[in-house]
Amino acid sequence: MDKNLKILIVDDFSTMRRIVKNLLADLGYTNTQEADDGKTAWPMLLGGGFEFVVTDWNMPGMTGIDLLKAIRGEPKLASLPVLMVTAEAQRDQIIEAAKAGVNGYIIKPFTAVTLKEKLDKIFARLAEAA
Amino acid sequence: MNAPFKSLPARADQLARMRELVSLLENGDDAGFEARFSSLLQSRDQGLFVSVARLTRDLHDAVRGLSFDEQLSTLAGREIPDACSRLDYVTRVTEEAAHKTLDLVEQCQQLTQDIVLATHDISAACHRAHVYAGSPYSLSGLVVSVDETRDHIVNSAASLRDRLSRLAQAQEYQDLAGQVIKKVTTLVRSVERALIDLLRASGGAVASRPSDAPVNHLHGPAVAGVTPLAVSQDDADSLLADLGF
Repeated sequence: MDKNLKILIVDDFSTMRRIVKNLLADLGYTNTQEADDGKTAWPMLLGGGFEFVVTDWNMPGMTGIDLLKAIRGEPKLASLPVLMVTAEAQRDQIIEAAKAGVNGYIIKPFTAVTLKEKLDKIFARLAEAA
Repeated sequence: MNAPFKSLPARADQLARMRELVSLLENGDDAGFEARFSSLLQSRDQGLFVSVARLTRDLHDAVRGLSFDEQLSTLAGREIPDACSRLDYVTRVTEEAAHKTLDLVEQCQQLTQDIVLATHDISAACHRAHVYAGSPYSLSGLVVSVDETRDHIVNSAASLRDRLSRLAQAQEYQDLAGQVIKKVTTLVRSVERALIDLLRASGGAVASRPSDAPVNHLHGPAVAGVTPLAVSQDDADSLLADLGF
């Protein structure tokens, strides 16, 4: 996968954004930007250029699930891969995210290994589909 | 707070009052009935007011009793007067500690990079040693270069050790935050108990444990023993696999 992939990290906790950014950098993905909720992320995504989104679920303003639905509903962004990284761990929520078209789901707290696994899996599926 | 059973004299007194009310009604003394009935209701209200006053005093004492110990107040920098600001404090110290930890991790990553570069210098020096073997002049220059590289590695190792102890130290927030959270949960539980007592005192039944009431439709981090429906990453993976992911 192209390591220069432009990734948007969406989380209301600056520490969690930093941790995700660091883990991605460790995996070689250094072209990252940050947003503190869906509302901030949305114009950035519309502005274009992002090729991957890592988002939290529970955020003020606009939640991750609403951001995901908005992305799938916008023709320009509909095929953008979205990885959800969240503390929400109820079956119903995972099913809701799957129905909304999430590409991967990671439950916090998580490890670097889990993040790598999910990214690899998403990229493998995208390559298959291409 | 409130005795679960009424004492015998209190029961006899109430029976007498009720009989009096009935006989006033039977005799058509509406005015007398209203007066007696109001006084009966008033006596019940007074019991409620006594309970509210007691709850207020307990709450006040509990809040006052929540004083920080010396170490904690030094770290907090100021006296935090109520439970909400205590939780704000917890949010702040945990955030600061996380950033401090991440700063140190980034510095350590840079140091390991420096060590790798230093080993490259050693490799280069070894290469020169092979090329200029037999020439005493270049060998002395080589010794200086290897000495410098060794010093560089030793310094990097010392810095790395220092960052690692600071990393360990940065974890102290957990102890402090934990103490504050315990104090706040103790306060919340005592208020909850007092409110249940108050409900009982005012004659209302407690339908369910108040802390079971949902506050937010999102569940947040799964807490063992509190969030029984939460699934693990493995469960989530197999659930998604079932859904065709």
